[in-house]
Amino acid sequence: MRRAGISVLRASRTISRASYQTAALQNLTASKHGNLPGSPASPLTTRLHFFNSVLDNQQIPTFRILDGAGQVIEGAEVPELDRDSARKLYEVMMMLPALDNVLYNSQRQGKISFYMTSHGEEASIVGSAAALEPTDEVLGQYREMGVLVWRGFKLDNIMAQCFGNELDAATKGRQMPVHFSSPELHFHTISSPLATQIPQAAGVAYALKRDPERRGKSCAICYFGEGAASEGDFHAGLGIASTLGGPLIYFCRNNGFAISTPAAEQYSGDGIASRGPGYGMDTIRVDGNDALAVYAAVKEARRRAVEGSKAVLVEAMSYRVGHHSTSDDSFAYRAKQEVEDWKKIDNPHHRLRKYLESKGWWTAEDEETTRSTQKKAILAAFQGAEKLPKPSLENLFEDVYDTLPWNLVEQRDELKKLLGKYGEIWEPWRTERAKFKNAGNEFPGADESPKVSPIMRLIAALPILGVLIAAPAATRPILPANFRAVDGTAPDDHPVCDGCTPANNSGLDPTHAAEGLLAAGAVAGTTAIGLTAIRNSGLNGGFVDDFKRGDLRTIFSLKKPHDVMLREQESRANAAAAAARNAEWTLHNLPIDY
Amino acid sequence: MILSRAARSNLIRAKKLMRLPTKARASTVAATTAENPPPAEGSLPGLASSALLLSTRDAALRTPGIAWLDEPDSADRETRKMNTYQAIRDAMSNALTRDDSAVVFGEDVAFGGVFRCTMGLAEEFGRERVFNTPLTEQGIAGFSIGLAAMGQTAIAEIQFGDYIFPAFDQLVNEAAKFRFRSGGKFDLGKLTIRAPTMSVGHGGLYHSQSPEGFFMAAAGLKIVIPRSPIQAKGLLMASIEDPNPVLFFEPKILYRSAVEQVPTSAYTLPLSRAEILKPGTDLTILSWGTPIYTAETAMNILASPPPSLERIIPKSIRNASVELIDLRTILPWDVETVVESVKKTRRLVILHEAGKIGGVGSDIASTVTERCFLRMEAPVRRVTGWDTPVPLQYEKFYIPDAIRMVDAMVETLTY
Repeated sequence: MRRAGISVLRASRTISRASYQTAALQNLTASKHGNLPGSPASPLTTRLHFFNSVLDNQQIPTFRILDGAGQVIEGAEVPELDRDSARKLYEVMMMLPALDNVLYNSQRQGKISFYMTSHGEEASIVGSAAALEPTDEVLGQYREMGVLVWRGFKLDNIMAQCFGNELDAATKGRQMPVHFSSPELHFHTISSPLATQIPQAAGVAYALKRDPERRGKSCAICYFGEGAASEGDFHAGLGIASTLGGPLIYFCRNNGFAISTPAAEQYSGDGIASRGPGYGMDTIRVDGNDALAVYAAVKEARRRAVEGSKAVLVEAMSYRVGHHSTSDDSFAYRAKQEVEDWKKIDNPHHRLRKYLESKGWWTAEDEETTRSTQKKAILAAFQGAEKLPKPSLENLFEDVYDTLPWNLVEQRDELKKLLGKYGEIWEPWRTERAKFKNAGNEFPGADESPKVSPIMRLIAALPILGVLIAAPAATRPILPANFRAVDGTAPDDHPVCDGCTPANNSGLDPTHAAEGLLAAGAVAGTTAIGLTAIRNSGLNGGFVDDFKRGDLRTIFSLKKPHDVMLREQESRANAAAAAARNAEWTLHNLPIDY
Repeated sequence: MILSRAARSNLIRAKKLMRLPTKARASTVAATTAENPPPAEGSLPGLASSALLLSTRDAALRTPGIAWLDEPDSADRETRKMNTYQAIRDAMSNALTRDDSAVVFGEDVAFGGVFRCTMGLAEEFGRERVFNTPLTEQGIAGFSIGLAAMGQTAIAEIQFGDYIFPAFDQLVNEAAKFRFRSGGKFDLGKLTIRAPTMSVGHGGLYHSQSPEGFFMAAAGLKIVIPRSPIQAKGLLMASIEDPNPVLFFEPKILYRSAVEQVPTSAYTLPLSRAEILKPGTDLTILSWGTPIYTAETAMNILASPPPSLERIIPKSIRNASVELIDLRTILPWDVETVVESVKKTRRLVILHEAGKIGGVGSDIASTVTERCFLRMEAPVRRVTGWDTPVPLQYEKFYIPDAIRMVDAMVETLTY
């Protein structure tokens, strides 16, 4: 019964002090009981009913165009796809398992460390990629290599990232295989933590909305699995995207498994699609193994996202035919027969192929030719990538910040020194080193530790000199024949040595001098003091090491030891070569046309 | 008691001589009433007498390290009296003006923010650039990463540092590693995340934390903590300009209590450079944020102890020359300045509100010891909060206050 005369005096609870929403006081519902002041569209009811779309048999329908045999279903509208586009769709869908087979097996053979296949989901991935513009921003989870392949990511680059070799511009050998990154193709870096890309995609979409050059033109797409959709980031991301806006497609690959956890243990609701309306999002559930349906759905989703500058949710139902990754044996938790059955009754490749053949766009010969061409290209890229070294070791320390902070400069120098000390004699490092670019001089761009000028060496040597000269019982040290004052000597007038050991260098017979010196116990303590003096003065630690090696030349000759000079000469040459190589690195990226 | 006017003024003068508080007038010390509740962000009345806060235009313009972002000539620069939240607001206003892509967002920022750091910004720059987000720190962090990845300047606010932990994964696994993991192809130079931090006296477990220690291990992030309005504005501008993602923690008790003459032009102060606030030769105190003023108080007590403390502070150390350093950037921290100082003074006391174990002081103490071991006269001493959550009623015994600092200094100087 309407209570006439009662007007709502207090403001709707949805109005804040600044009143950014108009007071919706009218009744937008058909209910005769009206509505709450703050909720004009929610009809009041006296019926005590709990609703639950799962139990009420109101599950969200699944959109499909081709049936299981690849025939267009009666009444279905086929999307506009010309012959070439449709063929490309299928060819890229073929490329994925071709790549997957080679790379999966290469992991089994120990050539790469890890791999994840896309078996069974090719239609979801490639169908959605085909519906986007080439500059649309893509944030993937890890099973979306197909989007990169669609956009022309070269096989060399796929191999480079999986091998982590010197041509891996995507991750410079730092990430596990399949963690691609390509700003040129608008493909954001894959990271292992799940669902982190979901709120990030909301930010990307907002940026597109703000950018006057891209507003109304570009869209972002965010892929994730049904397992990742349980993460907090999913709810955070959809909440933010739906309130702040920005053109965005959230694409859920519901492939039935999160490693071993089946979907039935992942959620109790009506899949992921049921969550979309919870955020006020346009939502569609689509047959993920029907390439045409996925294409059509994403095309429409994109239109809504761009025109409405809002987020749209697409849930693609498919089946993960392969194992989760090379670290997984899925037959530990599902029957092999189940997988074989799926491959037969619901095969994304067969369905699209049948459609193409029905249009006269594909023949068995095409199939054969494409298969062998692709395989050949993949193997060539694979074999090329196999041979290449890993990136130069200095990449371990770079790109943490824009420039190296002090701690990384020191740690890099420390590793450099350790390699100098143990790189040849510690077996794991010796063999590992050889796999890297610049093996033997792993830090071509790094500066030497602070250069020690000859004057400083003299000053540092004074305590020892004074001490040694004063010690009467000591054998008088023999100054080497080439002792001279500060002269900035070039390496050229240093005597040629064979193998550069102290015994055959510089005319001085250091062994006797060293023995004489060290044999004199009286000076042992004083040289220790001298050593401490040097150490405390902060000079090059190598200086002290040279002394400990019994190499008196470093103290008395004021010339650097032969091996140090050789190393410096080499590193100067290497620095020049490294600069050239760095230029080359950049060049490598250009012909490999992203 | 009824006094004549003369007697009353004599009494007031006498009380002043004895350094006892005169009866306060309502306008100078706000009596807390229903109409005038105590501020949520707390207040530190002692700040009014701090020598570290610059109350003149000349002193402000001579702040070391200022780099003007506009015309370099500083003859006509103006300053304005600002507290910390006004200075922060000023910095964000400058950023929004200079950079069309800049946006400011977080919970409740549109109406001005719970600490008023965004007052008027939505009105001035519009709701597309200054806006509220739903209540989700992990969402705010993720969203800010996506925005910054697209090259747009994202200035995000986390309402309290205590609530930054849902964003921990996004910050540590994503933001910090963004450049490294993409071979340098993507970066988050445009990302700055601000959060209020440190205690107010009545915040308890969840409105008092200093989370910088948790992020110190996230290589790739920078962490910056200002001590005053001038510092806040300059360091925040520098953080926004810096080509790396920066966490900017603002000691909330300083929002209202710290007042300075702040230059109105846009300027930056250098990151990863500590500032020596008072040079000295016998002991180094290293701190950041609110405890800087605790250190100052402690130094004053050491130099001229009140009667009650005279017997515990040996006369021999009362004229100890103490060097006070504000670290300012916690990651990457200015090892050069600190080590150079300790090599000179041979004694170091580190002061921070966060707990001892796993605190920033541990890393600094260990690094300083590695480099200065043979010169040290005493072990590096840390004065910190206890290793408990911040307990409300006990805060005065939890937060390291001046007397604990004095005690540490005495022990270190007489080791």
